[in-house]
Amino acid sequence: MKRNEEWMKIYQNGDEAGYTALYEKLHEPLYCFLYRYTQEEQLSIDIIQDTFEILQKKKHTFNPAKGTVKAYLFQIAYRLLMNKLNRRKKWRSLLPFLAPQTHHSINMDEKLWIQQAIAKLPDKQRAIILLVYYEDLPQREIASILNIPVGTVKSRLHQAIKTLKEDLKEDFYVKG
Amino acid sequence: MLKDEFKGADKLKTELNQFHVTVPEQKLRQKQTTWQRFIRYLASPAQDPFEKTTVTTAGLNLTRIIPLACGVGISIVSLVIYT
Repeated sequence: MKRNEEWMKIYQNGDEAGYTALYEKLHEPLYCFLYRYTQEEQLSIDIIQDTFEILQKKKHTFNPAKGTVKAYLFQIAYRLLMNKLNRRKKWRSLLPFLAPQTHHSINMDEKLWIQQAIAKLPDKQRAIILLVYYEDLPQREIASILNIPVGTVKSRLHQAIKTLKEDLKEDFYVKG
Repeated sequence: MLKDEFKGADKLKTELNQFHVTVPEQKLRQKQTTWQRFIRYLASPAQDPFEKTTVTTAGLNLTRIIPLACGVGISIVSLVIYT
């Protein structure tokens, strides 16, 4: 079974099979990350489509010496996501009644406590916890995706775990 | 590995494992054009700018009376000017 980097090389050499293989292997983890971050289906879909469109346009900018294909795609997706969310924030502050209401797919069901807890986390901590726990990416790759120093990844992860643990404790006492 | 940081946080891990995501494969393959996205944006529900006033009876009555009063006022002004 070929690695992502090998498929990328095939794609860079002009074979569309490389692109198909990369899409099949990476669209799912990308979608899961985006969905867990935003909890919005349509926004996540839009970003996935834009990310692979950028990959098609800029396939030659990928350099295996700088990181993995997965990190490269996550970086593109994260930047697109941040741009979209920042644009949305601006709209909301300028014309609050014209900004579309976001549809969070959170049901206030007990089993979805974690969805609410993740949504409540500060943006910077949320991305870290998702990339570490669900994607199991190394520290250096996370730093390159989020464009932050390597040391900051660990400190933000500690803060995120602490916040979630405290939240979990509070929830436990409320239930009790 | 960074995931080792979750050692000892079993309860948190259990909760995190419950966050399952279903990938909408069909929707992902249907690429929307910029125009379709714009139409979707226009059609998406927005916040009612008069929500705060229309939730109370007094506010609701005000939103009915104000246009009526404006209409009467404009009629009176135009009568005064043109007669």
